[in-house]
Amino acid sequence: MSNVEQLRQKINDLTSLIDVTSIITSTLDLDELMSLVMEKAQEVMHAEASSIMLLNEDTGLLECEIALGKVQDKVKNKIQLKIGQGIAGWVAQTGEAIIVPDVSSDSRFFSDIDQNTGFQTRSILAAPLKVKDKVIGVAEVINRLDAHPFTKENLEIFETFCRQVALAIENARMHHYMLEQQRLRQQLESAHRIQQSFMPQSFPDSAQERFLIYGKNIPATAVGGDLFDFVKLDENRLAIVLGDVSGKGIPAALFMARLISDFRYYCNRAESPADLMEFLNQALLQRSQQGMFVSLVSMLLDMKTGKLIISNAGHLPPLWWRETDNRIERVENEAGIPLGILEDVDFDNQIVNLQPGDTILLYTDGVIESHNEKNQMYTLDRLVQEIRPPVPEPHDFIEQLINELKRFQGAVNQHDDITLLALRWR
Amino acid sequence: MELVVFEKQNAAILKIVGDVDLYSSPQVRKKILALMKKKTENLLVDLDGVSYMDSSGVATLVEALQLMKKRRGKLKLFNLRPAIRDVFELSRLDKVFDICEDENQAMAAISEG
Repeated sequence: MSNVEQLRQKINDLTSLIDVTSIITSTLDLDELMSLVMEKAQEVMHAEASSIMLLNEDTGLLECEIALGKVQDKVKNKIQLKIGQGIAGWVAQTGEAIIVPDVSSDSRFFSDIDQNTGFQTRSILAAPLKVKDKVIGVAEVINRLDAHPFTKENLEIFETFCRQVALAIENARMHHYMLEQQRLRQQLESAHRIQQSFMPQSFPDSAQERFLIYGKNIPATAVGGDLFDFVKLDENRLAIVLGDVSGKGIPAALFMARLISDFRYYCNRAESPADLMEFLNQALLQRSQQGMFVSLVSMLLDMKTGKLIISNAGHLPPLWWRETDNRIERVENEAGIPLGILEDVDFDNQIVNLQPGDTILLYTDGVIESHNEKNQMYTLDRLVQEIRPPVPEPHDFIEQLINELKRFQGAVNQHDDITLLALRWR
Repeated sequence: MELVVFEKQNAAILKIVGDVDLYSSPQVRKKILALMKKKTENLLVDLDGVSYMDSSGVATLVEALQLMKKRRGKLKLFNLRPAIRDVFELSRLDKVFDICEDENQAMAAISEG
């Protein structure tokens, strides 16, 4: 080749490279992008056919994603090679580009594909698609149309093409991944709003009522397995629950959603909180899933007298602020284990006669097991210490406890769902 | 996480080493389900190597308990560290599971009925 021809070739190569770059920046559609680039590669190398095989991370096989040439329909999405199998497999294994001037004299050549497609491969130019030294696929151009062998110059420009393509594939994958993440995030945000709507959004605050109630749930992730709810059964009785489903995230959230609906269904039929526990236990056992269970406190308030009946299914003891005595009492039930574990479990009712100014606090383990930057736990003792006279009304009381908890946690991520509920007799 | 199983008389002893939480408990579950397939008569779980267990971990043991009860086999837990014992006691699960001091006591508890 004369100097002038060499220069002309270089100019052509650089022009084609600019073309490839503009193709790559023009589309995020990976198939379209790979096809356009391989068309360009075929044109520049004067080749009859071309292909891109990508490594499937799950199977460890090279799979033909793009095939151009007259047998493309027989090849695309149909051919698979193991690493090390055929020329493409060798390139994937070694990470090196290669010119095979005559496949018939190269033992690495895998002739089955030609036999199946009727295509006749004579020569191959193959290069790896690499991202950060990791092979993600192999590109090939096949059979020079002018019957000359592929040249070292062809190989150099092809390798440059391949570097661009590999980056484009990686970008497209990253883009796809980010879209998927965004879609998931949006779904979880909706799920969060839906789950929050299962729990009371407004709290009775009428001067006619002798009680005030307020609760708050803060899941550790978008959705969680803590729950609280209350229902006025009639003009005298208010049924209240607060609980914690085992596990976290979506399974716990689905379990919690069904449990709230069970509570709403059975609270009218049950004669007492302990009776309600038995109904719920049976309901959960009937659809027992992977050992999931729930610890729950169920209470029934007589809205005229302040008599409060409490049953506890393996949950942390309610705290009772006794205004007249200026002290806190833990309300311990004798019986009760978490729901959804065993048949024929006994639950009992504890009776608390609320006096004006008294407050009952329910909470989940996410509160007392919160950790701070020194890896210390919040503990039940610290929660008890936080309850000092004058104990504020439920809304302010809960918000104050949550603020205190956040101060304690500092920069540490919340790792469990947090739920608090306060009931005040006035 | 490390899970070791060995057979002793009519029981399988599963030794768990590592935290049992949301991420690792599926491994424990898989191992327990495999033991159930092998028609394990009684299951003893050695928790000496467990310093942290969350409620997903407890749920895995609850499932094991439910499966063993169905086949009239026994499940015993032993070698609980104080922190793990607290997890069970706080939620009254010490009333649900048979908790033994050590392997000998657990083996004896199986034959006692």
